[in-house]
Amino acid sequence: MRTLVWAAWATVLLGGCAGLTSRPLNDAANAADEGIRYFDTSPFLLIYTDGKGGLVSKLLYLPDSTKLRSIKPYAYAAKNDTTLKFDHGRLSQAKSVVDETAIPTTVISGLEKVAISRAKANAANNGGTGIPAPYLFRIVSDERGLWSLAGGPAVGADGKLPFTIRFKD
Amino acid sequence: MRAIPMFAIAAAFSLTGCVSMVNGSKAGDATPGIRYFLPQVFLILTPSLDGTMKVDIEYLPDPRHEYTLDTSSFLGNYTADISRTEKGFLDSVTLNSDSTAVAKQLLTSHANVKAAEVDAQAAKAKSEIAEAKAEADKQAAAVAAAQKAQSDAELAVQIADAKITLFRDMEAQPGAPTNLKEQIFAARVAQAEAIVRLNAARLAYTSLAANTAAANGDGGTKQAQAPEPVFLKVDMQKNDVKIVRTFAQTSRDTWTIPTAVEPPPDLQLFPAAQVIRPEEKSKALAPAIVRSTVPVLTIDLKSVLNVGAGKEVALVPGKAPLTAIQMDRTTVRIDMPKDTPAGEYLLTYVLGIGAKAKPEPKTQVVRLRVER
Repeated sequence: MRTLVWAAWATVLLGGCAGLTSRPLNDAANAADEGIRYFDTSPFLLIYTDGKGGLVSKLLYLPDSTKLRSIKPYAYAAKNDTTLKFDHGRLSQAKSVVDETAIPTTVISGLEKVAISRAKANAANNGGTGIPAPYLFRIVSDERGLWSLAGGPAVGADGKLPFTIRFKD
Repeated sequence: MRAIPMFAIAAAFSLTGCVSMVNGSKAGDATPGIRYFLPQVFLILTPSLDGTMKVDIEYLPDPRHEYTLDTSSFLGNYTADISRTEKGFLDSVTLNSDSTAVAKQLLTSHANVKAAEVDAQAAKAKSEIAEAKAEADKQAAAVAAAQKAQSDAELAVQIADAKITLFRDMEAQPGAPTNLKEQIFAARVAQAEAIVRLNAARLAYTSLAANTAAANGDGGTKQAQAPEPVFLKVDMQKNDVKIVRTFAQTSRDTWTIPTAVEPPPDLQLFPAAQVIRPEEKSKALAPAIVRSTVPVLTIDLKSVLNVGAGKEVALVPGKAPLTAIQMDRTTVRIDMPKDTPAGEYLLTYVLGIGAKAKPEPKTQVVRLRVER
């Protein structure tokens, strides 16, 4: 009788033990972690010429290599029917566990204007020798909720600013 | 007493199912499991000859982020399905206790996806071929239409010329119609209109043929070079980002599929022979109008041969024929000196055609018969 009670308790204790764990990883934790790795997404703003004297801006959510995470499904004496879907290294199906920052439309619009004005200021120095290289900005939000842009024009392999793209010989 | 809890736990496992784990780890040379990569983001900039640029985002496997996945199960049936993309990225990880049904479904889904991919690729290839053919057909139709317009205009000019010549001949005949002058006037109006139409048609055809030939890379017989795309690596940093060119942009051979398009026309002056007579009022010889099949940049009279006399006429300033290129660059007006004797004359010209910076010289001969 006592054995059956223990077994019942063990069943209750172990029966709910299934689910997913997700956590951020730094280099040290990455070496020892046993989960499935993925990158969180971050918002970026891509600006490039439209070839007609204007600029095109695109809001991109890219897999952010500075935000490495791990997710691990587990099931201890329980059912755990899990499907995790990924898209280019990003966890796409379990969106609830992804820290994808929602950016207000007005903020995006404002940041686009800032980025375009920066790109135009630099484009004036291009000299017309080729197609101006694009700009990529990371959209950053600080702890106070202030949005800003970090980044700039493409640089050459030597890290020097900026270069143009030849379109004919 | 201690054995009781252990037995109870074992019993609990056996009652409720299993222990299932997905184990991931950083890939080493000998690490077991299914390997996958996390991506490195690139921007690929593909320039076009017209100065526009296509910007694509490309994800390539990052060798610094290579991992393995392994699954284990204890005391139970669990199905783990791990699918990867062709680039080695994880596509999905599925764990399910209903192994048979899930496996079947996954197999079916996978087969369906593969079949859909194959169908999509075939449809895309078919569509690309159809698009290329449609574009070639469109070009050929446009050139054919321009060619027909030119032929029609040439015919109209020839008819108008023939009418005028006929009326002129009739003028000298006894019993000529009384309204001959009106008919000559009407024929001249028709001739002028036909000439304008011909010039427009010729220019349209010449430019269309030249553009088509340029677009087709000289009919595909000549290889050209074009700058290759630029790869920019997206270098992510904490609260910052840089895009760095991965290698210098060089040029590579390219070419265009040849299409059945006629080359631009060769230089030709027409009519190559014509009759000129004195104007009624001024008594000066009417100007000879000749047209070129290609735009003329320069024209230089080299010699005038009096065919009847069998000798060249001295090109004395004021006594020599005056030649001028008209605004449309395809019409040339020749004014013979007022006192030119009747007879046949061969005028040899050197015309400059082609590039404005360095015209190519071409020799052409115009035959004029002066009647008085």
